[in-house]
Amino acid sequence: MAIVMQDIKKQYAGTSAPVMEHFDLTIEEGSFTVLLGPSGCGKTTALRMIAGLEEVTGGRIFIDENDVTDVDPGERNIAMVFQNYAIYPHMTVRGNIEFGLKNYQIDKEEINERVNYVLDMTGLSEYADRKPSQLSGGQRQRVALARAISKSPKAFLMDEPLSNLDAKLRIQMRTDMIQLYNRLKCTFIYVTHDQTEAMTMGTDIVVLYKGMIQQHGTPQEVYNNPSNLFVAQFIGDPGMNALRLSDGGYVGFQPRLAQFGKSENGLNLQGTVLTNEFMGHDCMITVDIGCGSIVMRRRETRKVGEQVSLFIPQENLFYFDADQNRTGTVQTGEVVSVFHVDD
Amino acid sequence: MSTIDQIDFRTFRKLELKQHGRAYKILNGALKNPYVLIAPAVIIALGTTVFALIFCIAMSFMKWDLIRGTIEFVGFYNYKYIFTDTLFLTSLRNTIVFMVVAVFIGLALKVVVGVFLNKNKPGHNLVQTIMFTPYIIATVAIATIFRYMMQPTSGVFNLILSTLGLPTSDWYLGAQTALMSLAFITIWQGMGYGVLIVVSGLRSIPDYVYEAARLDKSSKPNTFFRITVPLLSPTLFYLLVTSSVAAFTTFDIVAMMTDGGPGTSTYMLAYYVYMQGIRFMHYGRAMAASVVLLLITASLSVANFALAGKKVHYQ
Repeated sequence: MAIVMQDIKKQYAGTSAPVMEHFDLTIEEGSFTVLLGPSGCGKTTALRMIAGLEEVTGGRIFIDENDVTDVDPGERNIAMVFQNYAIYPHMTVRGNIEFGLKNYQIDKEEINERVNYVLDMTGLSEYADRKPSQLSGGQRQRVALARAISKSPKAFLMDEPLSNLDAKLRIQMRTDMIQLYNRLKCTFIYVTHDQTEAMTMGTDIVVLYKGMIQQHGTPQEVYNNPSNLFVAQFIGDPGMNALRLSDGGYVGFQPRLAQFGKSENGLNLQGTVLTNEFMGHDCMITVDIGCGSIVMRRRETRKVGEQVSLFIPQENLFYFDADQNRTGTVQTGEVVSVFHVDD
Repeated sequence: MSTIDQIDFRTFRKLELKQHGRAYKILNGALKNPYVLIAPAVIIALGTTVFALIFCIAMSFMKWDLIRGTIEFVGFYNYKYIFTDTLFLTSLRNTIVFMVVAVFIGLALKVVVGVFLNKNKPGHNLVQTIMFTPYIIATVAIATIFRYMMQPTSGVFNLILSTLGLPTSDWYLGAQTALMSLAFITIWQGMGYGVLIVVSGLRSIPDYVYEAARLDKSSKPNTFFRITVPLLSPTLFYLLVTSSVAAFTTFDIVAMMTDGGPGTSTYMLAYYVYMQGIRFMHYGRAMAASVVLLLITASLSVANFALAGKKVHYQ
């Protein structure tokens, strides 16, 4: 089911400026769309408006071509998983799942059937009669998921559902979430600030910054073909290095594509190694190039304090104009400084 | 686990006392024993409560004549006396009626007003502050005010009622209405405090639970009874225990306003104890009545806690 946000405006009462204006977004039916951006970019607001928990100041929202702008959250045929799980603390696991189903006046037998099915699916069968306080964080998250699945909604809305879990569990839940998506084959809208989550799970990524969509594309498109400097620096682990040039433009390159040595055909830099972080498969090396520091990811290492020459092949350079938008034209100015979008 | 739980207090003490070798040795020895640390509090608590309790129970089996200065063991005589004393039985009945009305109607009103005031709207805090004022006014003052206001012929209550064309009441001066008038004042007096507690309880229920309920298509009454009330239950339970004990031991408003009258219509247990002990000098009977009062309030609390185990949801 397609979800369309049309010319959305959102302004909180008592504030002078809207957090979002002329916001248009179409989420394809059956996609796993990730709304990605730093905190305060409007991604959660967008999700909450789709859910109906947040009113829109202007514009319309459509789910399956029905205008749901003024429809109650419970009538939108969606389910939501919250960052802090939002399970009812006084109900058992079973009670948590049943609560919504009872409100939809589904008959008892079917409720039982559905509850048992989702409990089995999420591996919670043996915890059915426990209270949330007797469960671990990961299990609580499963309860929230089970509750959402039980409603067999047309779309799942997820607001940073993994961010309260520890690193190991998060990676495992990531895999589980992808499997769940493959199994349910319905629309997932997933909010996160973690670009790794976005890249690994999403079929579509919507990069948001300051209430505006910076880019909407597949993970490959967003990574390999960023439309502006913000996207280039936000996506990737770490994101692109960017250098401000004397002609006002910028040149960017991915940390993995910078090499040690010199080359005729490419951008040559010189500097001192500041830090060398061993990451397992490779190393993250910070190099001070005089006007700031850049990051490289290489398998070969260099000692801290060592003088190094490095180059980036011409075909791996990305150019941006003075407005930080991607441009095909090669910028030729001298390197003035190292640049970070959020500076 | 909070950070405070993780502090190792032994290390803490060692750090502070390291420079003073001898003091450290002596203090560390004593401080290793937790009982030494709680001793001052325990001594005061035992002296003021346990001793008084034992004294009270012991004296309830005695006939204590202050004028002759004799104390005589009389077994269960005092208990037999009070349980055949119609005044005691009336007091018991009055107390129970008073408690049920003051506690349950009071609690329901506190929740209703609390829910109403639990919105961050201008004026709500002011209303709450005004409502809280009676709680910090001495009962003597409140009783005096209400004696004027509830005066059947010249009081403002009847003035308002008659202006509105409604039937008037004898309030605290009528045998049928006196007990309920006292309950009314008690509810009014405890309202602000109760509402404050209810509002803080309501504010501790996280918003996301309500959002989840909205997504679960829960109607407002359903959300109130199945989400709000259960999550508010620790707060309600606290109010239930404290206000029922307070209601059962009500004394000052009776002494101030009605002296147990008209007739014996507002005689309550605590007032009975006072009259027997202080006015009539029947210490034994007063102590026996106190013990009964204590047993009732204690079993009330125990019953409350037993109920709480099933119905109160601590998060």
